[in-house]
Amino acid sequence: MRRPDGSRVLLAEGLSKRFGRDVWALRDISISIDSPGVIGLVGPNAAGKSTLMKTWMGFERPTKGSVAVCGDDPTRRSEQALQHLGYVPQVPALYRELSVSRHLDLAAAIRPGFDRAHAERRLDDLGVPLSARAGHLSGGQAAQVSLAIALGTRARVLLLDEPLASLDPLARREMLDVLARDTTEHGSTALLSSHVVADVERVCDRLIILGVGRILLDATITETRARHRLVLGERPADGADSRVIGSAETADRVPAWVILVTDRALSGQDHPSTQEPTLEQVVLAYLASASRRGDWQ
Amino acid sequence: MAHVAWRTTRIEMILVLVVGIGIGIAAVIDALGLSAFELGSPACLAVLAGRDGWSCPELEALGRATSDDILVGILIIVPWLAGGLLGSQVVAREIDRGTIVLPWSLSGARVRWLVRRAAFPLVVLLVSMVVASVGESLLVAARRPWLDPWASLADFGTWGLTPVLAGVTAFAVATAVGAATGRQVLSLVVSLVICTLLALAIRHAAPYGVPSDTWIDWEVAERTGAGFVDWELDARPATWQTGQLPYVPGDRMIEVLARQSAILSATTLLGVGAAAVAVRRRRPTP
Repeated sequence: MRRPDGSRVLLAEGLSKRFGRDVWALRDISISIDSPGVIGLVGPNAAGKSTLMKTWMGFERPTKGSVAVCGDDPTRRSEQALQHLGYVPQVPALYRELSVSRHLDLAAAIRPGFDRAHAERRLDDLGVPLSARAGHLSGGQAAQVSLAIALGTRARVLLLDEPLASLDPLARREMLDVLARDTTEHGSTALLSSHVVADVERVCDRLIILGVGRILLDATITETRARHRLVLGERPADGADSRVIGSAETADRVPAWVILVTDRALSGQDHPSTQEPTLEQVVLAYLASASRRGDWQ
Repeated sequence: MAHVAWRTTRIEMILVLVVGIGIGIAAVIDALGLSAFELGSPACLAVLAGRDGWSCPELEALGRATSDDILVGILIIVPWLAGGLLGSQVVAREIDRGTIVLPWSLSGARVRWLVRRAAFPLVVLLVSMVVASVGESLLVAARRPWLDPWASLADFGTWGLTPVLAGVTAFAVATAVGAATGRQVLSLVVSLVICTLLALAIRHAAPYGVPSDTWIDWEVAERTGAGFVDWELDARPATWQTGQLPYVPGDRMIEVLARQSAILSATTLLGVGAAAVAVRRRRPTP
């Protein structure tokens, strides 16, 4: 979905963000996103997921490097950049005194081209009453309102900053279904940050693992599954065709190791003692590896 | 956007409206009462100027006029406090509560958002201050009918355009403070302190370097009543600056008012500019 002028939908080049004197939230991040679909952004707390999204939103200014949304720098050309973006924050930013309907009015007043009917339909499908005050909504309903507003913008890119964090499983599933359906129908791109790998696995086409400010993995879900293996038992040695990522456990709590294998190894004879890891095992191995290297400090 | 402003700051807006309209109504009622005494009749003024005694029946009204000092004087500070109260919450409340993320994520035109967001509280403030100022103008005219308000500094700053301009200035400054701090309580406290200091500075800087139109001879002043701008307890005529030679703007009053308006307008522009810069550059979290 690269634009006719060649610009990527979302781009970060050498992006670093520092808070205060020495707290680095992001270190030399480079990401290029130009295909439609849902992309999962996974990482522990303080990994920099929110900071990355807020930088694309223009809410944070890069300390080093640059970011762009459809070719526009969100800090210098925020009006142009934000017209391509829809945003769902971790905590729904709703006015507790206003009704849901008034929120849609507000969005329509602020956002040119806001599709109120589309947002209303989403909420209607989910049984969220338009007349209810935001302060009286459940956490799940508030998140759905937030998502409906973002979808109503008809933006080419949706940034969803852990919108599922406080939702029960049913509400999560509903929200993910809505998101997946909408991105498929409209060919839009959604970057979904989450702690829950199962959620990411359910709807995402691509996975980005962020570990305290650094990108640990950026690959499609299919690639990620194909290029990693779970080795049971002792820690294998790094070889020309494989690299140990980190420790893991099988469902039966058997110690194991997640290894990254090269294309050459994939085309050859697979190791008899390996098996395909789950996405969660891969993610945990990367995070454990970053932790062991002291990246958490 | 007016609905958002009303629902999020309605208590402050109601308070400002009640205070402003209340002052206006009270001032009008008092002004009507004072007019009924026919204050300033030549006979009474002659008695007072000659200090032949306190038999003048209008003295009862004069006592009442003195008691109205509070009602008049309150409008020196109320516009600053009202503007500070409303302005401090325009941006700060939205940042503090996290609601600002919604409008700022929907559009990058933050300054346009600020203008639209501030419009309704500003209109409420203007209505309140205009009503209060009209009432006070009537009261000021009624309590010292022997003085031309346009040639005297008596009750200066409590009538006419000054309270309205002062309210707008306070609103702009407080909006900038709120946008910079992003905290409701901090913004309120800092804004009220700054606005109070500004009110005092504006008050004490009068007549803003404009020279006096007339130097009054005390003997003449006592005999004719000219230049009376205030009354001491012993019924001696005093000026707004007791102990100094009386200052009478006279024909230069318009210059005094113009300079005051220029100072207030410049401060307002500074506040608006600072608020716009803060809104454009800041992150949407406290």
